[in-house]
Formats: sequence, C-alpha cells, structure tokens
Amino acid sequence: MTNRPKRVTLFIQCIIDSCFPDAAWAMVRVLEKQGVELVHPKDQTCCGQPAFNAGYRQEAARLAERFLDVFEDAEAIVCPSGSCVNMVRHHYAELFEHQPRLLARAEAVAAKTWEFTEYLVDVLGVTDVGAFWKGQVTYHDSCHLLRGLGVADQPRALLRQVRGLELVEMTRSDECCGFGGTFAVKYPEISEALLETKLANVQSTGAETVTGCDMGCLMHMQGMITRRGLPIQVRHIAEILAGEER
Amino acid sequence: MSTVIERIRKALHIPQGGLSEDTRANVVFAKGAGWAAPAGDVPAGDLPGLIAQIRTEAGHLNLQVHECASAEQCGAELAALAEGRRPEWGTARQVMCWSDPVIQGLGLEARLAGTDISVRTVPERERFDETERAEFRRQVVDSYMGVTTADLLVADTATLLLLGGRGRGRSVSLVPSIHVAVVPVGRIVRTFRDALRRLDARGLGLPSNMTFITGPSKTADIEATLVHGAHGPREMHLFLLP
Amino acid sequence: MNSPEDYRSSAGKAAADTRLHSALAKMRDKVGRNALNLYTQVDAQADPRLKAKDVRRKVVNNLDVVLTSLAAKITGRGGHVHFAPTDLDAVEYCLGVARRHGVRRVVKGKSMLSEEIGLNAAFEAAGIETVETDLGEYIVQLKGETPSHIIAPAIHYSREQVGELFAEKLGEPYTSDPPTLTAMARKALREKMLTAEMGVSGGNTACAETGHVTIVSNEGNIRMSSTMPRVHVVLLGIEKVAATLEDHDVLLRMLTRAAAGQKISTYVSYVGGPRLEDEPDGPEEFHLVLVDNGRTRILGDPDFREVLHCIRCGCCLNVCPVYLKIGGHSYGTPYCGPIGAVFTPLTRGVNECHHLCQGETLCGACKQVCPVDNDLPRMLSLLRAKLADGDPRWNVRPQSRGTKAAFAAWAWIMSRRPALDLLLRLGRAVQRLLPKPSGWIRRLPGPLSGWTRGRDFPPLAKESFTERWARTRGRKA
Repeated sequence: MTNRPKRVTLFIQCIIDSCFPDAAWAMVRVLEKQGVELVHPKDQTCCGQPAFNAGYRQEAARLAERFLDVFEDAEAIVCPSGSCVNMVRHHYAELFEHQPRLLARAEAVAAKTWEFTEYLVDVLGVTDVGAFWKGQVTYHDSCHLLRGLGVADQPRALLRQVRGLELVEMTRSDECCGFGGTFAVKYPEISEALLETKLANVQSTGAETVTGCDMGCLMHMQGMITRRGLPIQVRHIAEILAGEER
Repeated sequence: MSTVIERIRKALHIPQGGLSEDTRANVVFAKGAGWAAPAGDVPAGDLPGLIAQIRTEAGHLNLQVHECASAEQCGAELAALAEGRRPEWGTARQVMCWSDPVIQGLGLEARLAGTDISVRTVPERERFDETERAEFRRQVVDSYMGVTTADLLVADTATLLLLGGRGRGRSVSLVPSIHVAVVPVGRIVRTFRDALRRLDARGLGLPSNMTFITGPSKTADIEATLVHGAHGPREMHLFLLP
Repeated sequence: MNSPEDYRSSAGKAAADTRLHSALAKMRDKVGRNALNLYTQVDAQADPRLKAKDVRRKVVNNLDVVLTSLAAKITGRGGHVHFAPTDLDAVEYCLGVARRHGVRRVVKGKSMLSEEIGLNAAFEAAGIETVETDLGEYIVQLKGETPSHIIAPAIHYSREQVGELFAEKLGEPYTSDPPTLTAMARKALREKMLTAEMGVSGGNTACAETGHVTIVSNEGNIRMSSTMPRVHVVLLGIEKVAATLEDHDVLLRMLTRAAAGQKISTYVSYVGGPRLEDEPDGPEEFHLVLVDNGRTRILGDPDFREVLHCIRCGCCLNVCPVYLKIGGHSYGTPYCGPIGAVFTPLTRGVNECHHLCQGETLCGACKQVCPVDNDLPRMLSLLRAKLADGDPRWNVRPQSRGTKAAFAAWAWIMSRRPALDLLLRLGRAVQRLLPKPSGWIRRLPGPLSGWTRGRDFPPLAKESFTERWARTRGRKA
C-alpha cells in the first residue's frame, strides 16, 4: 500500500466518456465516498489504444504524447479500464523506445496510473466500499487487465465485500470474450463465436449479472445479449461498487 | 564455408574485432555452477525410497516392475515371463538378449532349454558384413521379447538410459513386442538432470546413439485418448537386481 | 497457403463446428490450461521459463558457433551434414540421397519442417512411396489432408471418422475403439518401417557439445524409422539446437510438459551419426539437413529474433481462443496458431499473410504459457504496425490507405477536445436515423457493419461524462 494521495485525477476511457458515462459517475461516487478529492482534466480524449492495437503507431504516439501533456502533473491517475491502463503502463514505453525524453515522461506517468479496482485495493487499502447489490454476480477477467496488469484478486476481493452479492465463478473466466478492438469488426465470424462461448459460460453460472473492469468487453457482451434477447444483465464493476441499499 | 553460416554471421552482426570465436564458444559451452560437481552414487539407504518412487511412476506408464533379491530369482522370474507370453506375430518364440554380464548372469538359455523358446545373444564383433547384419535383423524381427540392461535408471520418472555399443543393438529394445530391462539398483540416479550430469562426466566419448526409455510405447493421437502400445514395444518389464 | 478469403471462409465454417471445438478442448484442458502447473514442477525456485529462454537466447545469438560445433562432431563420426539455404535446396538434397540409394520407400517420423519444405510431394512425384508413421500423421495422410496441430495432427477427427477411414483404406472391419484402431495402424506400419530403405525424421533439438540430434516421441515410430532403414535423414531448422547437455535438462523437461503434459516422453533418442562398425544394427548412412528457409532473415531483425527461440511445443495453440475455435486447417499453413501467425508472415510475406497478423485478439494467453517466454503478442502488434505504415526491410506495403486516412482523421479529432465534442454532437444527431429496435443500434453502415452482423452497437449517451462534469462541477483544472 503506497502513500495515500490527497487528490485523484480521473482518466475516463473514451468509450465510457461517450457511451457509458454512468459507469464513470459510479466510480466517482465510490472514490468520493472514500474521501478522495477528484479532478477531471477537461481536455482529455483518448490514450491512443485503438490506433496502437490496429498498428497505427504514429497516430497512437501523437495521442500518447498528448496524454502525457494532459496528465503528467497529476498526483495519481485512476481509470475504470484495464486496457487503457495497460496501454499507458506497457505500450507507451514501446512507442517511445527511441525517444529518451518522452520515454522518461511516459515512465513517470505510468508509475502513477492505476486501474480503478487496483487503486482501491492496492493504494487505498480498501476492500469494503460499503456497497449493496442483491443477487448472483459472475466476474469476467478481461485480457489486458489480467495478463497485462496482473489484476485478478482485487476485483474479486471488492465484490466479496458487497452486501447481498453472491460471487459465482464462471468456467474459464479468463478466456477472451472475442472483442480485441478492430478484430470484432474485421473478423465477426470468429469474434462472435468466442463471444457465444463466453456468454454460454456466463449463463451456466445461473448468475443474473456479469461484471468486469473493461467496457470494451462488457459492451461486446451487451451487444449480443441485446441482439438475442438473452436474460443476462451487464454492469461495469464501478456500478456494482456504487450500489446502494434500497 | 557454408552460405547459411555466412548468413547467420551477417544476421548476428558478428563484428570485426569483436569476441573471437573461441571466446564465444567458451561462453556458449560453459557449464553452470552446480553442474560439473560429480554426482556421486546414491547412498544405499536412499535406494528403497527411490525404488518406491520408480514403482509409483511405473504404475502410470504401464511399466511392470519386478524387484529381485538375486540374479537367480531374476532369472527364474524372467524365464517364467517368457514362457507365459505368446508372440504377437507368428508362432515361433525367440528371445534376443544384449551381450552383457548382467544378462549372462541370469542363465536364461539354460532355463529355457527344454522349451520351444530359443534364446539368442547379440553377437560381439569388430565388424559385420551385409549377410551378418541381415541375419541379425531377421532374428530381431522374429523375436517376441528383447532383453537389455540399462546404463542408468532415473527414479524421478522411471526412465532407463540405454547407450549404444558393441554387443547391444538399438532394435532389441524396440522391435520385439516385449522389452525387458534388467538393471542393478546401483545404477539408479535421482533425476534426469543427474543422468545428464553423469553422461557429461564421462567426457565427450558418448556413443553415436543413446536412448532414454520411459515405459512401453503409447499414443494419444485419436481424440487425445491415451492408448498403450503404439509402434515400439507394447509391453515392458523392469527387473531390479541388487 | 490460404488466401485471406480462404482463411475467412474456413474460419467461419470451423467456428460453427462444435465437434472440432470439443476435440480441441481436450488439448486445451489437458495440456494448455495445465501448463503453468506443470512448469512449477520443473523448478521450485526460479521460473523455468526464464531459464529456458536464456538457454535459447544464448544459442540463437551464437548460432554460427553452435551449428559449426554440431556439424563437426557429426561429420567426425562419419555422418553427413548439409546446410540448406532454401526449402528447394533441402528437398533436392533429400532426393539426391534417396536416388543414390535406389530408395523406393521412405518412412517418416513427424516433421513440421518436412511439411514446410514440401518433402512428401517431391518424393511422391519422384515415384518414391512416402509413408507417415506417426499415428496422427498417418491418419491425416490416408485422408489426403494436412496436419491441423503441431503435436496432435489428427486431433480434428473423431474416433468414428478414423474407424471409417481405416475400414476403407486398410480393409479392416469398422471399429471406433482407439486401442483397436491403434493396433491396426501398428500392424500396417510395422511392415513399412521394416522394409523402407530410408527413414526421414525431424528433430526436437540437438546437442552441439556432444554432436547429437535429440528426437522425442511416445510411439516409437521415429526410433523405428531412424534405426531400421539403411539411411536416416534428419531435417532440422537451424534454430532448433542447444549447446550443452546441461541445456537439455531445462529444454526437454519444458518441451514434454508444454507439448503433451508429460514429465518426459516415452523415448528421448540422441542420434549423432551412422552406426559404428561394431554395432549390429542402425543406419549405415546418417544425414543431418539444417534448413534456413527464411530463418536467417528473422535472425537479422532484433525485434523478431525471439521467434526463433520457439521449440515447437504447440502449447500456444492449446490456449489460443481463436485457434481453439477455428482449428489448424483454417490457417492454411504448416505452422498454425499463435506461433504460425508470427512465423508464417515472416517467412511467406507479411502482406500475403495479413489475415494471420490481424485475425486474433492479442489476448496474451499464448505468452502466458510459452515455455520459453516468447512474447508473440508483441510481435503480432509489430506486424500490424508494418501493415499499417509499410516496411521496406520486410517488403511490406501499407495495407489500406483508407484505414490509414481514417485513423489519421480520428487522431486529428482526438487531439482536440472541442473537435471531439463536436463529433459527439453530430454523432448523436446522426444516430437518431439508425435503427434501434431494442435501444442499441441494430445496423452500422460501411466498414463498421461487421460488428452489427450478430451484435447490436451502443449508442452515444445523451451527454458525455466530460460535458456533464463541466456542467455540474464547474471548471476544474
């Protein structure tokens, strides 16, 4: 557990900012309940991951440098997305491998950027955020969060402390849901097949709700759930952790 | 000078005036700290534990282990095994043995003298001509059981090391349907690593051929279902001698 | 090799093949997902993958020294060593050996390299009967197909299909019992292995210090193919070697665990030359063919040199969610799965194989299980970068000017918050025109339509987080 910063700068993933702002507001409520002061740089846009993932490194580098400009004065940067934090923590160094000054700046920013559940558990030292959520919930381990950042215990520790919530593990929770960024658009046959397996595994648990820390995966799941009218509810973990007693 | 080696050197940017080839070779072939120390014989007190380990491993492998108190007992059991088995191909029963004191000491030929089972030993010669090789090959193919010793026995995995050489024959542990290995317990080592260290300690005079054998042959190529008995021996026995 | 269109259609069909999936799931559960447990058995103190990686790196970075030593030791025993710069050269050499000995029948142990160079077809064209002896390869050969997995070539067949195949081709009564089927193959192949004049095998690694090629198997077919025929030819990629016996302590233990979940395979053979005069059996001639075929080019690129560390265990296949859904044949190349997705473009052309570079999610499962700690996702990502912007060094043309322009425009907009805000406002207006029967967008136009083939797409929220924060929390820096 590191020294508790007085102020957290919000890094809101572009998908969440534009399509799923409620997840970000839920994170805001949870953090403020922990007594954290929040700041939101209004100029932030995107960490550059979509471009990097598709191979467009020049474009990604532009956005990465801009990210450094926007965020490097922050004390602590918290983001409700594992893949974005993975981008900052691991891929910025790749982008700036041959540019020492940018590399140094990127490393400095990476050292103070956390994924939301990581921040709560590892930095604030909190697993009980005083949340309520009735029902069975199953957790999806998103790829970059799990394998890039090594975050697996923290979300589960938090979910286990939610009053009324029963955490049920699905088969192969760590298997890719098939999103993969542009892959989902370019190779829909394969992407959908992976998603079907993921949703079947979710349904086999009997849980009403599936949750995770990455909106890319969650919106991928919701996309097929909506299309097929499947009886599964999808919630970003922030929304569950902000859940209040009714 | 091979084109490929040239290409490799170019790809690796082996610099002019960089490390000489000898220096690089010294680095590449250097032994680790814990490697060169001689792996001594296993203390007699450890043997029962290691034999128990061999038995456990052997169970998974379908390798049948026989502990014998003497060469006499071993010979008798082995002869009984031979008598109890029918050949997989054809009707004639023939056993092919390595030419080795451990096996000679079992007196197999004498024990099976009155039976239909013929016992042959690999000829020890300085050289073989085409006819002699063809004859030996035919005899191995006609054998339903091959009897060898082993140079080392790895307890960790119940693995036998068979070095090639005079009076041996690679096909004896391979072509007959049943492979019998007779091994004095003094040849037991703990791990595969220890076995390699022992080999290394022999110096660079390793034979042109050697094989580590762990149980009878098997395959899982059909629906990932394990089947014992593929192309090599389908039955294997390990006789342990004191 | 499959074109991108073939890949798409094969993958699409395979993605619906539930029988294939349950067959591959066995490899996934028995080997792939078990791999990490097995590795911890190898070394309690240090991560054995890092040690294995060090061993491979040491060798690959000194490949000239290692190969020279290996070649010298083998020729010192009377073996022949041939360095083949290309696949054609390797095939020519093997044909030359076969012709010199009047070979009419060749028995083969499993060798992915022989697939890579097209050896079987060349032998058959020269009138030489070529029989695969590994059970899985034999099945695939009888079927007239290619292997679908590096370790388990026939994993995509059911036992019933094998039974039908043997009934048809071997004239045996139909059965679907694997032991009985295996016994049929044992009988059919024994005769071939005992009468072939030449045996061709691959190699799993080699020991340069002692001058041996190491061949690992469970079935005994490779031992038969390398012991009984007069001539034994080993095909080995130049990178698949080790320096010392000590290296083998780590490499072999990782290989057998990663490939088949085994502590050790049934047979580990060290072959280093022809039989000696006083040996009663064994091949009278031994040839080691060390094949380059694009590997030195990879060696010369520090970004990709790591791919030469691969020991061809197939573990990455067993955890790749894409491979497990589409099977090996969809890739249309000898090396499939994650390793194939990197190795094939680097040897057969990045543009030609762009579907291999882009047809996966970069989930990282392969990296997690690789016994030599290879970072395949990093290399795939680099290949994508080359496809995006081109790379003269690897003869890569930018794949799509349209996509480049789109990302450039996207980056321009994302560099200016006001531009993004404007785009969002426009987007909200436009999306009113898109069909949303269940609240989410049913159909996206143009290049994004791939998403809405089977999934709905989220609409933009009425107000972005940024807008509402600014509105409700005032201006905060």
